[in-house]
Amino acid sequence: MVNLVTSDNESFTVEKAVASRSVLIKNMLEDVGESDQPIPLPNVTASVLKKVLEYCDHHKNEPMPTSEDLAAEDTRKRTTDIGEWDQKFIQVDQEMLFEIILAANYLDIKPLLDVGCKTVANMIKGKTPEEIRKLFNIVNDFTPEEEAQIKKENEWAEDR
Amino acid sequence: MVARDALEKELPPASLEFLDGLVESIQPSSAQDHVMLEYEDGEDAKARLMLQREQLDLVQVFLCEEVARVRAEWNHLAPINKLPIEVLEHIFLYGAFDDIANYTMLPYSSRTISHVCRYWRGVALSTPLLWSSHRQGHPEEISHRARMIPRDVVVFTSRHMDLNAMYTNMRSLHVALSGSGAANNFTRLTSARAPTLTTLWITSLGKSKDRQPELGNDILFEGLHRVQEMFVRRCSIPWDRFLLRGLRRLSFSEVSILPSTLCNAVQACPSLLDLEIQNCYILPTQAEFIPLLILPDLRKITITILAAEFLRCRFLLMDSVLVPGTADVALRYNTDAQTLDETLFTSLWSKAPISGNALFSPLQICLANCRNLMVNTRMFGLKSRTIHVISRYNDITITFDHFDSKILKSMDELAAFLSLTPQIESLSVRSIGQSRPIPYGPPIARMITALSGLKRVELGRYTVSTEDEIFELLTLQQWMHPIEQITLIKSRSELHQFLRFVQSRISLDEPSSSPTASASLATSPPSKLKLVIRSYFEVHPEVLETLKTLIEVVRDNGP
Repeated sequence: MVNLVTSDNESFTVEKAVASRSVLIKNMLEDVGESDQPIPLPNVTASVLKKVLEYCDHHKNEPMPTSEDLAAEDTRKRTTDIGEWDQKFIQVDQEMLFEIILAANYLDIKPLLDVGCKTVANMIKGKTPEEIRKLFNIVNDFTPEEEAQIKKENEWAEDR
Repeated sequence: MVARDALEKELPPASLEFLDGLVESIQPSSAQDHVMLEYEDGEDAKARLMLQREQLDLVQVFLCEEVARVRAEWNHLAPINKLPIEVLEHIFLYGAFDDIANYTMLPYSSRTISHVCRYWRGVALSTPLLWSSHRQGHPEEISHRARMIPRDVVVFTSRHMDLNAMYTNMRSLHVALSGSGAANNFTRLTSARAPTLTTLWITSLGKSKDRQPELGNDILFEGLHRVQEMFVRRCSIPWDRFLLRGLRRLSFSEVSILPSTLCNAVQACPSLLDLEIQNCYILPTQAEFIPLLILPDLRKITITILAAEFLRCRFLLMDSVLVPGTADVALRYNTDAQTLDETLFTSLWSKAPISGNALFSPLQICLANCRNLMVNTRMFGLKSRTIHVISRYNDITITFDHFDSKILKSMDELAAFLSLTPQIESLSVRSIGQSRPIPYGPPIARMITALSGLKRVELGRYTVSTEDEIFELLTLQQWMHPIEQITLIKSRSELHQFLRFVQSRISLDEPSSSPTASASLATSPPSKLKLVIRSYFEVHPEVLETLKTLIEVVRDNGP
């Protein structure tokens, strides 16, 4: 078993197979060897780690992405399809969604990072800039000069 | 003077004073201005006003930039903008790939992204991969943004496009077949050397599966290319000679093909790691023998069959493909309720478990790997019964679409089959359609009791009577399986029946309990069972308090 300690000082004891879905933790465990020492995770809060561990537990029996898979990714067709369970898992509010993405990035859990990024990509898909701003609480911060350039770029499409 | 009024309300007096001072330093007061205009020479007045206008315009530009700066700072506080740049790029790239796959006129997604805010525009413009797509007549600006990276070229055979300058720096080529002479044009477009090409898409824009364009069998790109991925949609090609030995990923979509040709085509690619077959139409064949498609090195197989007319395809692909037990299998198909037995309970499912390097059918792998079963019941007004099966990794989702209670028979069949699946640890059953008085309770209770390895059960959105009936039946059957967690989502029950179920389990677990069981039960140590109540706010307080003395109860307001 592995003991993980969050930034808000909460402790989680989990199976090694679950914790090792994180490449960061897996490498730490390999470096430290057999030890009862808790692993501090200063960038992850308890509420986020709970969700991340739920994901890791669910996927603990799946093969880890190989370095060949990661290297080939740029040339591969990227789809935004998300598995059924993952879709339900990632139905959280925006704040938690971004926290999960940040945690997956920090802990180096590529499949979870992909689920989070695909979810955001699906939220963006088909929307206008104004709709995207509204969705993510962003305001239009372009200067009039930049607006003029953007208007010109919109004419690209009108000319096609 | 609405703006002035608003300024007086919102600005601190000192700021207002500075602003007035600034304006006054640029232009004299209006009364003085009026007097001067009467005596001033026309040209002098014009020059003076021009100067004022230019100065005020500059102030306006400065203030606009300040507004933009403050707005940009606001945007940096948005949770999405707290993501690292490389993560934002990762998100944006999905849209760019979608545009390439869908042969859109422009990189629409990347353009939209770059119009949201300054931060996103900065990320978009500094990520050449977002601008890699190339089509005839693209604005020069897009090529500039793509810098020197290999391009993703889309070409329509119906329009003349000179690709000569592109071949030496091409990452992918998407040929959209349309118009007369599509085959000849395809040959022309794939006859030059393409040393950086890794991905080839061929899509026929025709709708009919019966009249798919037939392409020639010339050697592609004079044999000089690095194609590892090939996506073929709605067209017929001389498969056995056409395909490329170095392929690692092959995707067929809506292709009409003979079973033997499919086998030859796939087995002509010895390096293949990833095979995708979506809505292909397996042509009728006179031969009784359907060849086995043996893929010992495959890592991933995706089979999607959505339309009923592809059922024949299902039988071939589910039963006649053999891949390693370690392969990542994704299945998605529909069937009508009458054929559930054939669909789910093909004899291959109950064959020996996966071990070593042995080869298995995709369905066998899905079942052997399944740890989590999700069953959805979706009530429709339309008179149709369909069962959707989706499987990926450890999960199988079965959705029963129906309009009447006849679907219960199929659910019963599923329950009977589940006794063969001791490895399933989690069962989630949800109602996702209209609420009707259909007695789902008995088949759901049968599914629960059939799973001998069950650890977690989730029930979602069922009526009070269904939920109560499930726990009543489990109580009557004295179901003592060591379940760890029961989750109730959007439950409307007062949980009286659930309480009786819990009490009954505890009482059966402690046969020495006195006849005054209810009194002693309240003081018994909590059992291992945990109840999670999610998105449910009307739970009966007394029942809840009693439950808390017996088991762990968690109230969770999640989605």
